[in-house]
Amino acid sequence: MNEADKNKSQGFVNYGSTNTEGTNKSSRDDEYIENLTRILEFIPDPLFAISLTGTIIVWNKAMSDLTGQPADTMIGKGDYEHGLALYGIRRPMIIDLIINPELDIGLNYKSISRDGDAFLAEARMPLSNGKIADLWGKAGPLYDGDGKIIGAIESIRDISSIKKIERNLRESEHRYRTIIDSSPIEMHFYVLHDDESLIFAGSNPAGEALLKTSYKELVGRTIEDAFPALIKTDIPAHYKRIARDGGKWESDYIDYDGGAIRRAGKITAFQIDENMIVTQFVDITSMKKTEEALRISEEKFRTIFENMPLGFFRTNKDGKLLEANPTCAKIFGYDSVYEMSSIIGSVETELYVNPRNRHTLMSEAMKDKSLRHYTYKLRKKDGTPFPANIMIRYVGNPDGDGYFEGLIEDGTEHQRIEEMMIQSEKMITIAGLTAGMAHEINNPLGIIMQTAENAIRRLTAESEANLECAKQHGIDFSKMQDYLHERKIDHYLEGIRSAGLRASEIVKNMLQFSRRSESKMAPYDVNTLINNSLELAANDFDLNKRYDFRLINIVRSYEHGLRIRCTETEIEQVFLNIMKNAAQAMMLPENPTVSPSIRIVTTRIGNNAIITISDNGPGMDEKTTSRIFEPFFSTKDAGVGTGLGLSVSYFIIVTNHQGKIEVDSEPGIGTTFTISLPLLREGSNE
Amino acid sequence: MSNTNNLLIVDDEEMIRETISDYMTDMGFKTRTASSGEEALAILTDEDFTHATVDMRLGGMTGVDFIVKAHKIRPNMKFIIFTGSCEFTLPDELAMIGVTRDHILQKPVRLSVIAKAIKDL
Repeated sequence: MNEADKNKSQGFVNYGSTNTEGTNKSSRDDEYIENLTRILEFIPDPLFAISLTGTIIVWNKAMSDLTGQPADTMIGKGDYEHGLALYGIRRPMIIDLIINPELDIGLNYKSISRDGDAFLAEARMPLSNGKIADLWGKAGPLYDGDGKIIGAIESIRDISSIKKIERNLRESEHRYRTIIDSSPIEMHFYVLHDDESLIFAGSNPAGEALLKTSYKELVGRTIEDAFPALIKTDIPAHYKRIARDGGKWESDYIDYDGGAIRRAGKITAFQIDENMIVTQFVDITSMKKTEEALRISEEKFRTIFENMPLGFFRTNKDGKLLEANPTCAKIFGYDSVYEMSSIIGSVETELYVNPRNRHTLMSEAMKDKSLRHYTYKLRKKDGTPFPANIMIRYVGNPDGDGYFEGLIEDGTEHQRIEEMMIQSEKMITIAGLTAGMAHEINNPLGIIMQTAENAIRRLTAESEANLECAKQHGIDFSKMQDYLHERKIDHYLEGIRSAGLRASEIVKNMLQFSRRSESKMAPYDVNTLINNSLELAANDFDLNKRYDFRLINIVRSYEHGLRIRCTETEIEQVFLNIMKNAAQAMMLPENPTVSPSIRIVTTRIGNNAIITISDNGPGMDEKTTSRIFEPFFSTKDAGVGTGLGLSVSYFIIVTNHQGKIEVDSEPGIGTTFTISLPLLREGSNE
Repeated sequence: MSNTNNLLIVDDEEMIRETISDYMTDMGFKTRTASSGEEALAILTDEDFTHATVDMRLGGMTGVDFIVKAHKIRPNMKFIIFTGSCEFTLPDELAMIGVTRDHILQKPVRLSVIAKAIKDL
């Protein structure tokens, strides 16, 4: 303590102050300071005090810790030794302002303020240990027990960590503010008042652009007042709910202009503080426009894909059906793509009649990526085989983990049309040939018939000329007749005559092939024509004992009002031919049909009258069916049929009436003829 | 002259002419034959006929041309027409001089049919 005292007095002396007070007084101060020092030693804040002469008289433990200078080296020193200890520069501090308010220390502090007789200051500066610290200090007068100022005391607090937090906070806030201000997202701020009014509180610059006016003009107004367009929407209600209850609300809005998107946006509102929300608008016009364009385009392609008349499929090597369009499902007889893909395990075994075909197709398709065309027999859902035209290509790498895709169509109709065209061409050729031939045969045939007729005539006794001539030559007419009869000359002549007659009937039929539509065409009711033919057939049995039409059960199912323009006799002849054939087939002596029946159905399909005539007779095999319309093709015994009935029918329907005739037959089941004839157009007066 | 029963047969086929002629002679007709329209017209200038059978297809002028010309020479003569074509329709010029559908016979024709047709004219 002696040392301290000495330093202390030295300090006083050094400071050059005038303290000439008595020892008593001085020792009382010392005692006071000693007590103060003892108390301050426990204060966690750094504290020190100086005397009126600037000598350090108190330097507590926390101060020693802060400066690294122990109290015994500091006590008693003056001349701003505390400044040196703290900052490494011998300079005055706010404590010195208490003693001498005239001192200029301002430059050393960030801020200095007064609080009564105390000074407060903040400084950021390097400490003597080199560290930069934020210090906060408060200095005030030091009173003795009598309330007399005996010096000054300063408390220092290291507020570096608080300052750092504060700085970070400020920087962070600045950063976020920058983000908000420079964000292209349009933001508005609202505050919900107690009276449930939502007041516009501001916006970021992007949000301000949306307002078309300065946001300041709208601040303080209710949302309904600031944005009248929102009154008729539920947006204010949503905003208020979020402001009150918290959470988040999102909604897309699309503003249409004549079917096209004018503007689309995404609105987000969320609570940022109690009764306070921020609303964000993101312009998604281009996104929505793209989306819409994509949707339209997708819909367009899907419509094409789903409605195209060709089946589309995608399969993998294992035969799994990966994708198909509705037409594909329909071709195979499935109700839907879903049904088809859930039923089919392997297209190879379930759809191909011959699964090896698919191996051929796959190995060829995998050679390159070109589209290949195949026609194979495939199977429908119900097992029916059909010719399918397949266009297929392979997509993927050559080692086979790609897929096959292609188009498929039911080739049945194609094949049928092709067959019909071949048939029709064949018939036309035959027709031309036959008609030409028939024409040329006419004259020689006429000569045969007529000479035979004359010869017969000239051998009869009925003619005076014959008898006269015989008499002239001395011939007994009756004896000559006996001779001719015995040698069967008359029989031969009759044979020539009747054969000629038969041939001329054939020629007449043959000539019909080249006949074109006649002027006798008129409108007739289809059902009436059929009924006429049925009557003819029923009466025909008398002439021809080979069948009895009355034993056949006739079932008629007519649609009424089917009128066609035709030559009555020709169409009746067609019906009669078919009915007669049916009757003859069902009454073959070696194989008569049990309960024979003919079913006749008339109906309208599109602009055509469809007449089907079906029997339950023995039917025909495929070979016979394919030749049935050929002239001179007959399965009947020679002399029973000319082999011309159905070929004439064909020409009557196809050439003369622009219709169609088809036959469908199955051995043991029966035969069906289907005739299609163009209907009279509505309103036609013919 | 009493020309109730005389017939001119115009056909380019000799045997046809002959058989028709023989048959109709037996039926009491007086007949003459011509192998072409030209020949028949020459005959008609000298001789009158009540009837004629005419084949439509002739060498030289057609049956139709012949009938038109023959009608001018012998307006009262009646015609039976033979045709080998079932497409044959009555030409207007023949209809105008009184030929009808009933006068057209489809070849080959039975002689009795010819005789009946002539009788029915």
